[in-house]
Amino acid sequence: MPDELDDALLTRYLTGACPEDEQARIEERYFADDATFERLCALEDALIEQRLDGTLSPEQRAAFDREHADGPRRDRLLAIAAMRRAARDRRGPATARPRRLAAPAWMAAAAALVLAVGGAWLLLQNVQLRRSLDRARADGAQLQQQHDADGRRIAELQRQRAAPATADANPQPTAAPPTPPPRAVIATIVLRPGLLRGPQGSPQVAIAPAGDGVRLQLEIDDPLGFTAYRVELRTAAGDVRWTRDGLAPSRDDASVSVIVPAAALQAGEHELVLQGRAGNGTYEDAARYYFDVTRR
Amino acid sequence: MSDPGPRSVGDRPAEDPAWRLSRTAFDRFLVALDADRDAAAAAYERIRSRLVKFFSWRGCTFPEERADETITRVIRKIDEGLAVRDPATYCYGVARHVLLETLKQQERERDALSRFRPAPPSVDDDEDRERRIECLQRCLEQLAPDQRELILDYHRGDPGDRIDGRRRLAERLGIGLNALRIRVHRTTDRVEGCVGSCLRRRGDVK
Repeated sequence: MPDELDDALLTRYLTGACPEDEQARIEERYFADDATFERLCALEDALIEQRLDGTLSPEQRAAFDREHADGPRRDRLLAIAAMRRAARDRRGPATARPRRLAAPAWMAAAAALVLAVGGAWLLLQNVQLRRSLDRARADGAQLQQQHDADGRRIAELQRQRAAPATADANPQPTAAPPTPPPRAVIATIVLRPGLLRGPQGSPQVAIAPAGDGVRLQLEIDDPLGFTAYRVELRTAAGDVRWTRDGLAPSRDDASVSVIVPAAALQAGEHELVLQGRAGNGTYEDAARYYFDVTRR
Repeated sequence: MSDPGPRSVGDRPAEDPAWRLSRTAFDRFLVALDADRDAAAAAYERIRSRLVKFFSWRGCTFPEERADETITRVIRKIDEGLAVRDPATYCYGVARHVLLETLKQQERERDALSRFRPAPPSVDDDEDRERRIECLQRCLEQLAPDQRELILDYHRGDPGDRIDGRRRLAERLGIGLNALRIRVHRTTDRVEGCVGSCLRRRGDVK
């Protein structure tokens, strides 16, 4: 069912060009519905950008300047203007745009540039795809090794479970009693993204001597919309110690859980990078988490 | 969504000497929002943010004060014993009355002061912009690197290039343009809050 509150109507609302009954209908909706409210706020940002670009109609600009010379919209306009300047300053003089050429020469140059850039882009995509494929193969090999190790461990546990009956039938007084398998000790630690430190510093993760690892619940501040995640565990020096792929978010998209094996956790500071898998299969950094490990 | 019928609330001025906003009254309002205090605080912020935008989008000066005035009137009604099933809807109804009063008042002020009102501050106030840019630089550095790059990539380029750049950015992130716009809006909210605090610390905000 199409949404009757389309962007054109919401923009008319924001510029005071709606009749009263439409205004009331929109207001009742955004007081009840978070998504509509966010759409309006994002559209307001777009309107502010048009004001900065000088592309508002004269009536819209007059309404904008008259009604919002003070207050939140003006503050927002100044913030967005400042961000644009910051983005421009980051680009630097080395990437300054060349002056425009006469039309025919400019078009020929642009066409040549498009071909060159297009070719270079294809090459770059090819390299990135190959790297993704290599990474996927490495992850697959690691998963296979982990699977094989799990299989051996299960077989070992089964053998040990069957051992007492065998021992009774064929007593071997000189054989040492079988060593009980180490108990799986899994603690759950909740981590929040960023470098926020509490009064006690970074979150502390204590690894028990008999522990198999720790479950980290990585909280996500805003729903990111990725269907799968990857984590990279790094030391303070930036060395990658461990990775895990194919992690699904929680149902409400508010967290991702992962069990990190104890062997990957040295004593000291760690950084964990959460990466979301984009539509084209590449991974994008989504959040970073920091914690300290102590070994008992 | 039915009008909660706050006609009597809207007409009664908030400066009635017989009633004062108290901690008890405010707590009753929070309980009406949600029995859990943390959830009630989140609901309060949600309602207040909508009220601020409502007054701003309807052309009111000092929208934050109007929002607080609205909430104070609702707190008063609840403190006086009114059972409110849907506080958000009730707040909207009260806000419409406050809006009517405000617009009438603004019109009276406009008529009275039109000969004496100075020109509104230019949106191109260079000195103000420079102060904000300094605060913005500091606040951008406090963002996580991916959020900082998102903001800068989003605003990079000339107007003609920006739309294509944003389309490419959305493709790279694997989301649509609307989702990108909303993600940037949320991050801008954070930055703007930080800039506001920075300016207040410097004593620059009026």
